Amino acid sequence: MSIKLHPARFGYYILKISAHFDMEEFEAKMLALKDFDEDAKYIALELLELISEREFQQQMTILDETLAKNKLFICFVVSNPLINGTVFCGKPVVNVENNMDVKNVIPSTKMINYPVRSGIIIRNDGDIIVNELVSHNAEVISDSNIHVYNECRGKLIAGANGDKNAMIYVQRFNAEYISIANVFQVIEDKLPERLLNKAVKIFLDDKERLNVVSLN
Amino acid sequence: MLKNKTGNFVKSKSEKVGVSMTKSAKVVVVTSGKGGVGKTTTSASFATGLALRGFKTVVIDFDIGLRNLDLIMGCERRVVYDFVNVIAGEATLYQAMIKDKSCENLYILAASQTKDKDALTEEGVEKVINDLKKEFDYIVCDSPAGIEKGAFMALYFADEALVVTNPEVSSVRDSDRILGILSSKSYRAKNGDEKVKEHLIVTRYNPERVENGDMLSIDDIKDILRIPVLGVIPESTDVLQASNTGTPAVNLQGTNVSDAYLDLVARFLGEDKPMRFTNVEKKGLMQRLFGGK
Repeated sequence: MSIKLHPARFGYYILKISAHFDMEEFEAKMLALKDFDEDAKYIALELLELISEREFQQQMTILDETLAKNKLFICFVVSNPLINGTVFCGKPVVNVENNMDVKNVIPSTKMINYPVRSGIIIRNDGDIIVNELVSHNAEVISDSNIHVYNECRGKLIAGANGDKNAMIYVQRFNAEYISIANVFQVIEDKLPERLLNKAVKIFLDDKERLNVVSLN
Repeated sequence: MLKNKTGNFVKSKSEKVGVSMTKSAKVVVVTSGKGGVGKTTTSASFATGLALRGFKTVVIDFDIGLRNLDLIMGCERRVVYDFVNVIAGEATLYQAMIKDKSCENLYILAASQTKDKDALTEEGVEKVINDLKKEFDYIVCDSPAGIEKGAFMALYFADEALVVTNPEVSSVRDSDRILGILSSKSYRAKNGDEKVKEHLIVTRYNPERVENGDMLSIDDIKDILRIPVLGVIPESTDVLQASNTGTPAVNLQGTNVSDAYLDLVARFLGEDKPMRFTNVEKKGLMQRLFGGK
């Protein structure tokens, strides 16, 4: 019997578990996880022993129920030599070595329907959609794309994990800092008339320069 | 007062609401982030204004270590026990609450001058507020400046917030930060309840200086903070005089500051009052000649 938790990239935790585990120990582990990271949500399951899908189905149901109570859920099963096929007990089997696979599995667009005030940081692995004002000194950080359907006066950081294809779209552009895949630009001076408070898209071109293009 | 058919005086609608219908107490925090913008002045006048309307109101000073509210309310010498004594169990609420000298529905809970802000505990503050909720209609919390523990405790249990700001950039920016804290760290935010209702109060507003471009206008401030404006208090020398003599500014009858605070309280209670003192007054010829104020 063994239950081990490992934090991994992209904000999920790997739960290493033996075929017959102790329920109490499991619940305690989950509570400890929530103490450690109250925003924790995604769990990847890794089996340490060989067990048939049919035998494990009942345990999987219990796991799902217990996790749901703690606002956690199993997003996929980690692929290892013990598992055959691409689906295990209704969960996709994913090769963790290949990060892109993992990213596709996590449904994680974050929708923000309140003003992002000064000093607030919005962080997400996936896309971020903001429908309200982003204030001065507020930060919106995404590993993927950022959309702001309002005025933006704060800092926008897209592709924070190095994704060069990430894009930023802003309805009324007046940001003080923009960055895609760690290529950044501090906007110190007043923007030119053709961009200030205009709808823009921001992307990296093939020479890795930041481009701000008006959409009007 | 209104007259009924037989000619006797009856209470007008708003007065009735004030006396009987509010059983659930509301906690209102007066906060700003920046210091010196008029939080304590506003707390004193707002609480007095509510009490004058017939609501049983208590105003609590959360600025532990730098108490000022009792000075502005003119009850400095009557402070024997304070908020920290109550939290520590050294005094009962009834021993610590000071009844206002001019207004019978108004009570003051002063801060300690000797302790520091660490004396405030979440459990302690919660207990005091819950006890007060049984007795009062409104609990007004006067927050200290900054975003440290005192300010945090003052806003934590709030149902509504009055965010006081001056028409200048740094004050507005700090208010933006406080609004962010209100929407993420308050009790309501943490428990997923309905969000804290936010009101904006602009103090020290000088329409002439706004017109000259020295000060931010109401529209500029609204564009940055995007919350409804509850009141605009004009810049006035009366405020300084009021605090030096230990009278809430709302009690200086006939002054524009007093009128502005009374309007503010009326709007808070849901009445529709047009904004005053936000435009430059056109001086008449006689006034210009003889230098009227």
